[in-house]
Amino acid sequence: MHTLSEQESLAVIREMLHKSRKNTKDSAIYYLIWGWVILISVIIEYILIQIDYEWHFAIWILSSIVGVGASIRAGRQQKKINQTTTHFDKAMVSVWSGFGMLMAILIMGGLTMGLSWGEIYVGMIALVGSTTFVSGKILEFAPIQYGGLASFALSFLTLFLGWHQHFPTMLLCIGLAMIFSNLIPGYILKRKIS
Amino acid sequence: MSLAPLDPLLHAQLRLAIMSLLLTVESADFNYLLEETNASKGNLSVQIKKLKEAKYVAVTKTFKDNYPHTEVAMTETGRAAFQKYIDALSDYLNPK
Repeated sequence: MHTLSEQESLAVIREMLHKSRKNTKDSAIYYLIWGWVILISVIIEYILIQIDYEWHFAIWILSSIVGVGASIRAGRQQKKINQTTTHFDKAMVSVWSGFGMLMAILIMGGLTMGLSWGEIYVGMIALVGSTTFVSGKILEFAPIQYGGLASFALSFLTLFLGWHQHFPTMLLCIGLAMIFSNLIPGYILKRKIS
Repeated sequence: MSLAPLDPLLHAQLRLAIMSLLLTVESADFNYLLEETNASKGNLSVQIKKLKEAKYVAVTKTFKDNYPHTEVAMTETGRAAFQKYIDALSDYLNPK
C-alpha cells in the first residue's frame, strides 16, 4: 500500500473538507424561495391596499403555505441527492428556528402592546437582516453577510425617515429587504455552486 | 527533537478521507462516502470496519424502503484521535 507523505495527508484532509463544505452551500434555494414568496406577497398586498380591498393581509396565509410547502419539497429533493447533515446545516436550522420564534414573539407581542404593523415591520426587517448576517457568517459567504447588513441598515432608515408610520411604504421596504437579503445573495450563491 | 509517530490507522489515504468527511457531518450515509471518496464498495467497507474496530467510528445499520442502509458517524474517540493526528502532522510540517 502507498504510504502517504505529510503533504499528501494534508491534501486529502483539505479536499474532503472542501467537499463537505460544497454540500453545505446548496442552501441557495431556500434564500430564493423565501425571497420570491415574500417579495411577490408584499407586491400583491400593496396592490390590494391601493384598491381598498379589506382582506389584503389574507395573502400571507397563502404565501406561508406556498413558502413552507416549497421549502419542504426542496429539502426532500436535497435529501435524495445528499444524504448527510453537516454541522453547518444544523447551525443554519438552529439560527432560522430562532428567527421563527423571535418573529412570532415580535408579531404577537407587538400587537398586544398596541404597536402598529408599520412598527412591527421595522422589527421584522431588522430581524431578517441580523439573521441573514449570522447565516452568512456560518456559510462564510460575504454577499449574504452584506445583504443582511443592508436590511439591518434599511430598518434604521425607515425609523429615521418615519416610514414606519405609513404601512404601504413599509410593505415595499419588506420587499426591498428581500431583494437585499435573499434574492441578490441567493442568485450569487446559486451561480457559485453551479 | 523526536516527532510523535502518526497514527497508522489514520495515516492511510482512504481512512483519512473517511475521517475528514465525518468531521463536518453528524453522520454520513455509506453511499455519500462512496461518492465523495471514489473508493470501491469493498475497499470502503473494509476501511470502515477497521475504523469501527478501533472505535473511531460508530456504524448503524437499518433498513430504508426495504433496502439496507448504513450510517457512519465519528465517535469521541475518533475525534480525539483525529485531533492528535492533526497535531502530529503539524509538527512534521512545521518542526520547532
